[in-house]
Amino acid sequence: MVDTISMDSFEAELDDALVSAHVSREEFIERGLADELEDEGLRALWLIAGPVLTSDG
Amino acid sequence: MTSLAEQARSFAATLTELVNGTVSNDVQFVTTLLDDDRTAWVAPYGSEKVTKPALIPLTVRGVEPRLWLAAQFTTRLDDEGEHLSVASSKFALCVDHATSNSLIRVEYERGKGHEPGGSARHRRPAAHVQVHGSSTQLGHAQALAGSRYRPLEKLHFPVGGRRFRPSLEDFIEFLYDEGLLPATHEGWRDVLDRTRGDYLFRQLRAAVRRDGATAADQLRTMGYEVTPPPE
Repeated sequence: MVDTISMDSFEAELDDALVSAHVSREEFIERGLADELEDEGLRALWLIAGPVLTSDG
Repeated sequence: MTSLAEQARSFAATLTELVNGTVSNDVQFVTTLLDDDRTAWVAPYGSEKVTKPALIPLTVRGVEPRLWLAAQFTTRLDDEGEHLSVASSKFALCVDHATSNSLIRVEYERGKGHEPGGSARHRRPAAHVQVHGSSTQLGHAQALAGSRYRPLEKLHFPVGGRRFRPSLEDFIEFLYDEGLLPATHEGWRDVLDRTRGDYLFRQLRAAVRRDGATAADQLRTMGYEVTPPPE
């Protein structure tokens, strides 16, 4: 089973999650790249979104 | 080699077989492909969103679960665009379904760490374990070392690096060995050994692809004749 999600939808999901966590996307990326995300939920989110946001991996 | 979607779907099928044959029932790992065709997430079916993967109930006989397994994978094709590669992953033993808070978690970020070939220094090893708990001895050691206090869960224990990091199979086996699994299916270890064998096989092949010269040297010392590919 393979679903597809658009980049726009993914980014909307991500932004919703970041709003709930009271973190801006810029801060999220900055702290993720610097290995400074300590909160477990934000870390989990980074592991999902980081490779997309940073073209890493 | 097949596409990202096909390889990710195959990976999801393996995870489904593993989990349903060991620690849970009726779990299906599914693949969500980003429309840039470069990223595919593999997570349990039932996830509300890509950004909020569902947890796997650790129960095999219809008993109400009290512990959950988190398992999420962000995958891509490797640099050659041929083989599936895990860009990042997390698996964890969760003690609260509502918050997904965990006791122990294994995290992996392919682009991070301190291994040869890495482009930058990072604060965490690419693959690491974090344990949520307390340790009197840790505080004592930090004081003796002149370090500021950092609780146990802030420590990132390195585990194996990119190629030889723990698999989900290793984590499930760890939970069993340490008495942290409520129950397992009969024959669970056979399932685990089979899928782990496949994982180790793929990781070894990936390691050889990344360092063919060392692999060839080793084969020559074992008596093989190895001919380099044409330039």
